[in-house]
Amino acid sequence: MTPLLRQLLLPAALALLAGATAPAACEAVPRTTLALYDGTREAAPRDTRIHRYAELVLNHLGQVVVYHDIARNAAPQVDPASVALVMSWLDAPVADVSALGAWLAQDQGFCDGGPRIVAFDDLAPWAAIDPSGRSMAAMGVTWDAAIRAVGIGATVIARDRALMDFETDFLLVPGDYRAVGATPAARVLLQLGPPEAPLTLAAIGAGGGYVHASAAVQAAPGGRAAWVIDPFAFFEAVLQQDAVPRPDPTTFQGLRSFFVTILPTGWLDLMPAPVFGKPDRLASEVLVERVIEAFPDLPMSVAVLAGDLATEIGGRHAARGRQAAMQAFAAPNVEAAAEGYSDIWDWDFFARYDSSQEALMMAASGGQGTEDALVTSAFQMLREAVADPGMVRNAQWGGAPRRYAGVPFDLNRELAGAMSDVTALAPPARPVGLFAWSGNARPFDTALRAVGEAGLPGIGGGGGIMDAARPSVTGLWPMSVQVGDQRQVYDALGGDAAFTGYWTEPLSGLHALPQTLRLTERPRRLKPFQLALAARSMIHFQTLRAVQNALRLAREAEIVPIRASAYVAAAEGFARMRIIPEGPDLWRIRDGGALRTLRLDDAAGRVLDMTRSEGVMGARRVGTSLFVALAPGVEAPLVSLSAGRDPSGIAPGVGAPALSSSRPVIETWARGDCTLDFQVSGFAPGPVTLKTAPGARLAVAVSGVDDGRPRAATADAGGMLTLVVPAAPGGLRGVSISGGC
Amino acid sequence: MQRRLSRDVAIGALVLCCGVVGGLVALRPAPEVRFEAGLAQLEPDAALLQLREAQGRMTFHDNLELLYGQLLLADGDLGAARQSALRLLARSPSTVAALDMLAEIEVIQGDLPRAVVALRRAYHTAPSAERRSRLAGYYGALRMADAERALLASVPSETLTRAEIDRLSLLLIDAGQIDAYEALLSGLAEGQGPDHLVFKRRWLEYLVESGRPTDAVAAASRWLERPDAAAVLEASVQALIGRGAVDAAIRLARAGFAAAPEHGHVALPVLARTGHGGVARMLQDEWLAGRQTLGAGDWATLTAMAESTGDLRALHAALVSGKGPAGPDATAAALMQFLRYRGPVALVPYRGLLDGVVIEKAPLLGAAWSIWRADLAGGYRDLVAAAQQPLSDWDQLIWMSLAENLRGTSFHRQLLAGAATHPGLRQRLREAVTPARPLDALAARSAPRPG
Repeated sequence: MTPLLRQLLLPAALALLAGATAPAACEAVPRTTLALYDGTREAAPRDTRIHRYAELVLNHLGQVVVYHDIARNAAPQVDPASVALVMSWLDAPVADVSALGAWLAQDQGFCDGGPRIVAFDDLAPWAAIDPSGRSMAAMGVTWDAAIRAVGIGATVIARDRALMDFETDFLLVPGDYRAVGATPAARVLLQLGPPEAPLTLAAIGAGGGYVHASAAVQAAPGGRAAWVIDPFAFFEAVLQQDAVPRPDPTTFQGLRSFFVTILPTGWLDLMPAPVFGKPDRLASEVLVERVIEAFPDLPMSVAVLAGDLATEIGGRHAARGRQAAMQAFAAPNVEAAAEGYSDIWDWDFFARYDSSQEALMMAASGGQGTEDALVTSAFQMLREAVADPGMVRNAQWGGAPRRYAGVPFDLNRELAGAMSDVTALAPPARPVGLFAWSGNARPFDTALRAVGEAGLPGIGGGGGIMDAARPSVTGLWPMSVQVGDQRQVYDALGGDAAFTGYWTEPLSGLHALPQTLRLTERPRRLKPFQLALAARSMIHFQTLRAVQNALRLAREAEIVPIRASAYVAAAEGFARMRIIPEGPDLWRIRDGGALRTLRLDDAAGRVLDMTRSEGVMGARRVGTSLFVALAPGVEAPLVSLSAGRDPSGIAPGVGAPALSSSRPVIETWARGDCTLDFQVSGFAPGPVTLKTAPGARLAVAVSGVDDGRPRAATADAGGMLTLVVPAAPGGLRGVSISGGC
Repeated sequence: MQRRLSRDVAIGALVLCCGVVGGLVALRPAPEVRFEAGLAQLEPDAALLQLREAQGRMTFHDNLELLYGQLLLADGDLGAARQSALRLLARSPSTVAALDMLAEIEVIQGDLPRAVVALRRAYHTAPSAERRSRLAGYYGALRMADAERALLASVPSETLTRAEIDRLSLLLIDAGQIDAYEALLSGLAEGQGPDHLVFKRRWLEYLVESGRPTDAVAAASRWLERPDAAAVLEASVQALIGRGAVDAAIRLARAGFAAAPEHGHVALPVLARTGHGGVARMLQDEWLAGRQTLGAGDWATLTAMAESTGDLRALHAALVSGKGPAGPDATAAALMQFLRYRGPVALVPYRGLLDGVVIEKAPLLGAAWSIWRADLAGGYRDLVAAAQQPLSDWDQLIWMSLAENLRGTSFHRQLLAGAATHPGLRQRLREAVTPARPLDALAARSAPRPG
């Protein structure tokens, strides 16, 4: 290339690259909500009201919430092109927010005209963040610093019933209010009088919205809370992304995901013999016999505490506990999991560990504890106290930061060491596959990073209950939480500990789990079906029965049994997935990892177009939502929709059948013009439902069943065909289908 | 004779045996009792199995029926557990344990209205805070505001938790039951519960909003006769000012001077902080005139007033009045106001108060006084000492101004070299000596020369 040509072409190439970069930055649908919090008033993201109440809703709407501490006065460390919404839920002004203001004021970087702005509670910080007033205008409000006293005589002069009084009715709270008005173009949701000087408590503007604290979440005695505004409708009205697919880890292959996590709490608890002289049993031994081996068709992730199983600290029952662990891990349906070594109850304490402080706390909590503090009777204490080395090393619950405090704290021993211990107990082909966070499940970023670098998915914390007595989504926790630069995946639902108040309230409470399952399924599927239990529940008849009943329910329900690690992988995929529009009703999906479901809400008039889609198995309609199942092993599937009202949610075209739902896990999927080949794994026979042309005649061959001789099968009048595939542990079952085109 | 004796013994023995056997038969436990005793030896699932088999073949007494219901509930057989509870209640309608169990069954089944019926009966039979809390929660979940309000209003307000009081207040307001709201709030305000100051504030705010500021002053004045008059006066004045009732606040402050002279001063900073400096100064004069001796709290108020208003007259009057010696801390704090507002020269009239102890409390005073007297060594010494104390931005500016007087001396160089350890001062010293850097270093450099 001549120098002249180089001089001509290089700038052109650079310009082309620059031109390519700008749209590339905005190629994906923005899915990040930047949550502003004041670190001087709310210590960490997981302590904020945004996390506690709003993040679940935002997750459901496809948003990944990233937190930014505005008290640090630094620019947010997030790609502006990915930000769809900037949200605050602050209760007081913050000293210096100039860095955030400068970041928000940038003209470059943002997509679609900039992020939406939402403020809950105090608007004053926004007056400082954006003195130009553009953010306020986007929210549809005007503001001044004056304080207005609102007394009991104030009246509601405007209330949008479609969005207000969602879970509880708005109640006037007398007090001092900022003087907030609504812009002429705003949609006023709630306003107090008098008409000549209205006070706006909730509004939606062209680029955001505002909600006063009293119009957001109402607290009630007993720690209960309820939404006053409909947060789903509010955020949807602000984001306006209803026509865009949303990643959804609650669902897999068209069905609700189901997984079981078993924690080692109470692993060495003794189940008292009803008659003196009869042998007693460990909770873990009962667990193996009556749950793990009694339900071999359901996968379970069983975590053990390495310290429990070491005689020198676990005590005289450690060897029996170890045997129970090995027996559990040997079961084909069990995924081995670790929960650490010394049973950390207070992770915050170990973020800045001070051994002398721990010694002081031990002394304050009674020093020498009981081996099984909550269940061991005084009689057992007297009988065993002298003989058991574990007795003098264990902390009691009250105040101590961990259970086995006799060994020095070592994060490596706690994490990698425990994983290694579990792998040593597990069959060689199935090493440790999950890490469960113990105690208060508030691991610090170093611990999260260490588990991630070990290649293990981690789970714990969060969860939640939603039932008749607590019928609010505020009782549910979001999918995950940001911790420093790490992300901790939460339990999806509360387990036995939550339903029984850590075994202090009526133990029958766990029988109410089906209610939470119902309320988190309709009107919108907010959570997968998780059964979280601890070994301790085995020693109580009520909780044991509730666990068994829940497992029986899982056998009967329309669900996909998966391992907990698969759910965690899907939740991690939620944070990374990029959805790239490639035309009307056409989206390229990248970086989703193990997350293989997209959901379209308000899709009653849309169907999945199998002709134009690539790497997509099928879809299933649930209510007005359409769940699209992506094929395994496809790097960048293409999802295409078209107009249609077929009840299946699929327009199969003229090709081979598409997937409606499958209980066995589909490991490979190859759909040709007239053939469909797929392999499934699982623990028991399960239905696979396909969608094809009405009345289509197909040839079906299942490996190991039909011996290469296909049998005929006919789809029903709706084009649906259900096959029961005999999945079994330890291998894949192949299914080949031809015809129908 | 002997035969007859033998016969009598035999008859006696027979009678005795019959008596013993009869006694044993008479004392034999009923089958249900034996059955229940046997159940206690069994695992719950085995006991439940036996109970299920026995049902219909045996009449369960109340305890057995309750046990059966509890085991059915534990088993998750909610329908049968409910029937069991209803059977028991048909026989003994007020059995609280059965009512509680029935409520629990209904909640687990998700039928909250039926749970309310059972729990309400249990609560009326055996009221307790726990049952009340649960029942109110169920009403809230069912959005039965009237029932929730009636339940919470049915008990004396002293027995309610703070959360319950707040909830009841909102429900009463929402229902327009203003009389009941007034009664609740005034009762709580008159009480001495742990949150009484909060309720006192709310009550005064309510009275002002209702156009009854005179009643508010009367109520607050009455409260001043109680032990915590200072806190009450401060909270009350805040409440009145917050609702714009400045006249009422003035009347209350005056009432405070009279009723609680040793605490009356707390009203003054409240007025000054809320933008009523003129009123505060006027009242300060009245208050000071009425005080025969000044205590530590009085001095603190005078100093705070001077700091917030810049009016040093009252402080000066107090210092020269001899109404009570101010301790070293109070003297130092008072003199700092003169230094801040009027500079070192203002210390001259009070030079007699500037002893070593006072200067140790506020070395900035010593530095100012020494430098004013051209005692640079003493000024340097006290500036270094002051730099080891926390200093507000204002005091840092004073410190820098005093340090300027040392410029050109070895003392100034030592300050620049690090003798002043205060981070804010070090930054200011650096900025004071470092020339401003050009905005664009490249633009400021020499132009490149060809060759």
